[in-house]
Amino acid sequence: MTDPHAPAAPSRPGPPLLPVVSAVALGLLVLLLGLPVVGLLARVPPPEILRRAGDPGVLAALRLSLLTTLASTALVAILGLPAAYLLATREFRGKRAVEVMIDLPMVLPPTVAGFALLMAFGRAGLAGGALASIGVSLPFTLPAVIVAQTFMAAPFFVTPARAGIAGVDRRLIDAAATLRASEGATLVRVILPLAWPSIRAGLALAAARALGEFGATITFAGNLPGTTQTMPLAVYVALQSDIDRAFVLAILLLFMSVALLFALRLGPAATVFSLPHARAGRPSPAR
Amino acid sequence: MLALDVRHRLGDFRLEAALDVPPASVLVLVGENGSGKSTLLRIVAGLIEPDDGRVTIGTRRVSDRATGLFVPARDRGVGYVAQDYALFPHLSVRDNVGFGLGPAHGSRAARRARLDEALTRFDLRDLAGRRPSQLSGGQQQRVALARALVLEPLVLLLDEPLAALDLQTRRAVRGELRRLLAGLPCATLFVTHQPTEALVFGERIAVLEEGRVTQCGPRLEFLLHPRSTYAAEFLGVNLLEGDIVGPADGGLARVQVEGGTITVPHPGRPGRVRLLLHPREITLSREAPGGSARNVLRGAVEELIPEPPDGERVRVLLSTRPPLTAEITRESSELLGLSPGAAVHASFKATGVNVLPS
Repeated sequence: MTDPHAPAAPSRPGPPLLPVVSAVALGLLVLLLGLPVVGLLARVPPPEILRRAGDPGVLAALRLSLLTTLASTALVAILGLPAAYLLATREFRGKRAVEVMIDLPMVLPPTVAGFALLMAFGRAGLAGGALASIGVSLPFTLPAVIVAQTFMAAPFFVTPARAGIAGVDRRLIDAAATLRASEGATLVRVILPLAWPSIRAGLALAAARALGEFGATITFAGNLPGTTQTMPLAVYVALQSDIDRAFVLAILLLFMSVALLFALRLGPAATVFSLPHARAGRPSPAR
Repeated sequence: MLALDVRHRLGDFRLEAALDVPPASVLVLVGENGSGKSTLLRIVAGLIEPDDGRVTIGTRRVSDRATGLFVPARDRGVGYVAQDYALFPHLSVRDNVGFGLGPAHGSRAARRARLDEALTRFDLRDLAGRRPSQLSGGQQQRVALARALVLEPLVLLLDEPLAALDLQTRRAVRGELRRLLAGLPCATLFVTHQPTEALVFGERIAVLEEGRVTQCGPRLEFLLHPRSTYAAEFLGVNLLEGDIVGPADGGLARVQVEGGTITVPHPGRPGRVRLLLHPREITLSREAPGGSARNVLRGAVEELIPEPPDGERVRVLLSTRPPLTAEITRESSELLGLSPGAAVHASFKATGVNVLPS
């Protein structure tokens, strides 16, 4: 019994409701995310996968996916790294608009993105006439696949790369300047090495996004086996005709994606989506 | 040589300073945190462009608002050692020290020789392969100094170079750094908020208060005529604050200060007072003194600081209550056998104390 003379009892801690609810939610989420992966792996025995992996149709899609993912990731890096550097280090007019443009593909439905690409680079598109006049027709070609993937993957690289560059300790950049380093030398010798974990994470994210690209590719580049039919498209087609081939393609994609996940997670922690508070750029506390 | 005369605004804060540092000399710029010391260093280094004024390094004007001239940091020939050294964490000691050596510094072999020489000079040879995170604070400081000095700058800027070190390391490093600076051909601008550092390092001392230089001159001038109580505090003149608790015979008063009571000339009115006691007024002895001094405090020697550095006199920091700084000749110090930890009596006449209204 409570003591009647005691001051109003402080609210007693109830049963640990929040942790229990959270744990249940986490369990459900893991089940939702994990079960499909297990289902995929459980269906086809490994020898069967190996045998079907040599299938010419599978190989063609695999080759195309590797080629286009590599090309679009390279393009993302070449265009994205200078962009990330500028966004991280400079203020300029219209910067907010540029930021919104770069982030847009992250939220845009991929089919809409593909449609928009057609409106820009298609025969009747904004830049279509200019391209046609130099004899280039982009839609439904292999380069169109690369353009679609680059479009969709770019923000996944630029955002972490920018955060990593912005997170390099300002004092180190000042030190480099007083040590006669030009801006370019400082970038190469100080900023890029220190931002590398974030840049590498961005590359892995962009590559994963390019590898899995479906909606923008099928809308802008079509679904031509051997030319524009990447693995995700091939999985979709095979589902309707050859379910075993679909499994093989899906499992190959799964492994490639997991490999990229490891590339993202391994090594020093990366700054991916948030600006860091403190960076590895500090010397250790003096003793 | 370094000469500057600049004005700069940061929000509500205004910095307005004119200083010059001849070659092969050290000017210590002392001031509290927020007085604008670091900003001034960054202006000299070329990391900040001042709103107005001029900076000259050697014979070369590097910043002049009137003509729009602004030479960026990398073209100034300035060595800059930041407060926490700003070593490159991804590079070895060797690559840190060699960071600034480029084709302008001669052939590959010449650069290598110069780098090796610097590593030897700063006793970093055995650490050459280590990363900064594997170094002690004192070692990190040597790397930062070597990295700046290997480029033979005309001006060396040191921003609180001892602040990142713990007390023990600081004592050990202080002498080392003093000897190093004494032998440098460049003009050194040394920034600190520590009074002892100002005394140890400054041939000339400038006091920066709220963005303005309130006093600038040779160390001796400061010791004799500190122009503000703030400067007095910096320069090791004993500055105490307390309340008069009662009269004493002979026109004297007893003042209660933090840690003890001191007898001083009576200022003629009661209340709170500020006491200025010059370190040379204090006599030290191992036995209890039998003289006429009205104030005798017991304590131990905390630290001995040659004054001027390697000079005739010694400043003795005492753990008396209140803590005091005495200044005696080197000879007396040796006669008394003073060393850190030695028990002493500090005595001074009541009339040796300057009483100021608080």
